[in-house]
Amino acid sequence: MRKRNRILYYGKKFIIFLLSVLVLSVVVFYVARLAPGDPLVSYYGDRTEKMSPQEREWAMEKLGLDKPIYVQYVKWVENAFHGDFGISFKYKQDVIQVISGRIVNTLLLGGIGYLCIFFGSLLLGIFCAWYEERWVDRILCKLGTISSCIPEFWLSLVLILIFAVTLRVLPSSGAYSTGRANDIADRVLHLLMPLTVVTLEHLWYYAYMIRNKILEEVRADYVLLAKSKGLNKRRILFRHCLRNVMPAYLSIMAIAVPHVLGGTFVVESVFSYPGIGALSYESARYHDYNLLMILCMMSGTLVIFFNMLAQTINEHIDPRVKASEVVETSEVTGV
Amino acid sequence: MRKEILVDVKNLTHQFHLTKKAVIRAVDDVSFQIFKGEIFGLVGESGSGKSTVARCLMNIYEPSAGSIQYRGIDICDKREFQKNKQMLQTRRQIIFQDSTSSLNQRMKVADIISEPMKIHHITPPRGSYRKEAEFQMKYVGLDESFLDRYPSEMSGGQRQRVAIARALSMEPEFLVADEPIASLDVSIQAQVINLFRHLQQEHGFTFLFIAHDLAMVEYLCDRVGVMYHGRMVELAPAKELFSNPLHGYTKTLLSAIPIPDPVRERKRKLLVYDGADFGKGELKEVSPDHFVLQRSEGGYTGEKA
Amino acid sequence: MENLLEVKNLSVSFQSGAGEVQAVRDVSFTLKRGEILAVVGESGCGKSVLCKCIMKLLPASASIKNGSIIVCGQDITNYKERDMQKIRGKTFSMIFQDPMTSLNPTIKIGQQIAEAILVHEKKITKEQVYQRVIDLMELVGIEQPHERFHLYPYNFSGGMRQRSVMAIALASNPDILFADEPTTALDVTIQAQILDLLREVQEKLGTATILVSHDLGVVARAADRVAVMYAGKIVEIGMAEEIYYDPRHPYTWGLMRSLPAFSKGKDSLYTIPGMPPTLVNPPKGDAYACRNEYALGIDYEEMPPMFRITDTHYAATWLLDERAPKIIPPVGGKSFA
Repeated sequence: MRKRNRILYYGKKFIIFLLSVLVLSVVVFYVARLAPGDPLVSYYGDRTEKMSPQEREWAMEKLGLDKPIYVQYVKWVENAFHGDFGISFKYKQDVIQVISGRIVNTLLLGGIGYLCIFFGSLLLGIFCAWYEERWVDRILCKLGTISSCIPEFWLSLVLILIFAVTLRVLPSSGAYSTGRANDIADRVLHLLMPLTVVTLEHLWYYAYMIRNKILEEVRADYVLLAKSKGLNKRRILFRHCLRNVMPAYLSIMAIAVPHVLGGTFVVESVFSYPGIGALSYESARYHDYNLLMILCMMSGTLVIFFNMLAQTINEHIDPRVKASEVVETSEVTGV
Repeated sequence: MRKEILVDVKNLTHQFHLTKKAVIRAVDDVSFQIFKGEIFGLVGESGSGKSTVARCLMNIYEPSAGSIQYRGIDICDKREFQKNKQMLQTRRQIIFQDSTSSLNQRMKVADIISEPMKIHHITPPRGSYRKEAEFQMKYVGLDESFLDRYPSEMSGGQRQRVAIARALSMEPEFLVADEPIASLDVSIQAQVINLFRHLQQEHGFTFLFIAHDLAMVEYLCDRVGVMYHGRMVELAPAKELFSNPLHGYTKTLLSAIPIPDPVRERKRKLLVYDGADFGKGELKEVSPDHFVLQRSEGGYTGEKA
Repeated sequence: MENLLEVKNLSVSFQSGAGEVQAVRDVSFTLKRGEILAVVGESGCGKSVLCKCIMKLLPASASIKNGSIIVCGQDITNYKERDMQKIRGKTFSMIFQDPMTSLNPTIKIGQQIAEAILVHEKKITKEQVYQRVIDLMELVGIEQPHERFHLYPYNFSGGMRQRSVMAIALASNPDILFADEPTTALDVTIQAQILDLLREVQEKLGTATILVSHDLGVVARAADRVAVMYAGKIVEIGMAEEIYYDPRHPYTWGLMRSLPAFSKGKDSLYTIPGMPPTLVNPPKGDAYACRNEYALGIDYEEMPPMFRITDTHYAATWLLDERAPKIIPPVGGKSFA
């Protein structure tokens, strides 16, 4: 019985997931085509201006843009199921090919950045909460606020100026030096500065959240009881407060996955880092429909997936969320 | 001669759905009447459904079954409610337990009191909203100087009086007070109770007073209903109920009233109501105006057979 | 009997935006082994602060300005947090007003009690801990302890939670138990049960208890002695019988008279006029003078000392001075309705 319930539970979640993705694809497909501009420009460039109406018609037909939007959409879905997401107008290549070269770079930058943010903010938050209102905490709070106010591009430029131009210790752009794509040390060197910027931009936001959540718990009555039974500060903080903060933190960090991954765009363009950030921008600007579609679907699916993951994590960690399951044994108060 | 009935509750039932299968009957087949100008007390432990009854009376919850008539208007009927909406929403007012959270901390007292009038577009009968607020403040026995203060600058009793003044600004005739004194100091509880008494005796307000402090209920209320697990187990005039409790649960409740006398208090035996055969039977009149939940085969439920 | 707790001339202040709040002013009292002392007063009179100050649970903005706290013959006034951790739970522990919030919602009840045992006893087997938890749960009247061991606080009703909190507080068999309004948030029927439980525990384990409440009616059931606090000072202290049958301080009269039991059949309940003074700048004379219908001229000028009435009964009011006019107290004697 329990097992069937679980299957039902996850089945329901999966169906909701599929439906959300479907709705997302419809919206992105329509909105992209509603935006003003000429999609032919991205394929034919300057030649578009000199085209005769017949030529235009022919071009539209060739790219499959002459039919009503819903027909185009059905066609796109059909092809997508066969793994064919169309060609990029601008690169005149299969979109999968266009992306695959770059997605590893973005995943590397975003993924490592995410891990740094996840553990960094946890440690920083606990540290600040431990030394609440002492000078260490105060200084860190001030620094943190300043760090999250600095625009990414400015910080990137300053770093380039210091480390690449003046000190000449780090490379200023790219993901690897020419011809050394497989040299790990070289990749790490190239990653250092973009990674610093990505981490610094988000770190304090989550660290401050952890700090305040813990302090909120520290003010709770049960901490007074824990203190009065003789527990020390370490045990109260780690066993009682952190435990109650973790569900909220995990669910926020789950939502933060696509945020951090997608938020690398500015950094990618400043450091000319060959990721998918710059690609997304171009595809929207030049009406490169197929490329735009797959990029949107990728990040959208990520957002939906991690949101649902966050919810599931929450339900499993926090017994209060599951309270309704055991209601038969409990007494309903305050009714 | 019977008094005029203001509120008539018939077979009220309210269920909460916790999951699709688990249903809690917070209120189960409760019937009672409130007469014009009386203070009707509703007592019972937490979870007994007394607040749910109050919220059904105020149209905050929609009852699952049964009817509630206010001045002969069926307030559970959507069409009738819409027709009389203005009257129903101004004539009935509710006061909550925690005045700290039910008053907006960032509003001045004068604005808090006049806000409901502004919402309902009522032209202040005394010229301006400010004058109206002054009037209400005097009414509940607070000084005008409080008008420009914030709730946080006042004591619990004063805040509760501001909450009452806000309710009174709509010129209601029926006030529901849901545990209005539970979070107050004893000496301040007395101030609020005195105010209720005054409002009833001098100005003819009708009250539904919900409390778990039986000593205050005995002092204040004209008639009292005792609720247990969603059902009304006993209903009688206060004097009768406190001198001659019949239902087992009522006896238990009364035995728990503390006496400010150490020698007698220490000797006082607590009764325990196990509720073993509770729930069967219906409310019957055993002597004039005194109703008890009775077993169909005779005897009270909750009484050891 | 020996004195378990001795508080001498204790003054506690808070730093706040408005200035220094003198929450506890020159309070002295003793607590004997195995007795229940009730501390009664309006909210803000410093009764909670007094308890938390002895256990050093006050926030950093509070400080002891004067006086000393002696527990079991040891002066703990200047103990640091590390020293306090060793004696908290063992020498004294505390239960709080709201059982809904004083348990950690995400940890099982049994484990929360076990944790309290393990703090002071490191060398103990798992089975022994489990048995001790079950014993404690039985002691505080939690039925079916084996099943309830694995439940979370939200499965419990208010009364059950307060019993669990008691079990936690009693886990290391403390000498002194501070109970800060333990019944205020509970139903009437449960209130009396918890008070009886306090008595029972005191009889079984010999735990001395300081019971804080705002309601004189409630504490009559459990208290051996009663201290009445007003504006940070103890204004009257005595055996329960002395306080209830022969109160001497006008504030005690006021508290008694506002109980509904004294106003049966009367048109209105008695209320104490005015409001308690702010403790940022307390008045120089008797703080109660401006609310006191029996106030004498000297009350506004000079703080009354503690007058001795019997060996156990003291009150701080100038009415007890031999030069004061004799008045008939409005309450007292055994004439309760």
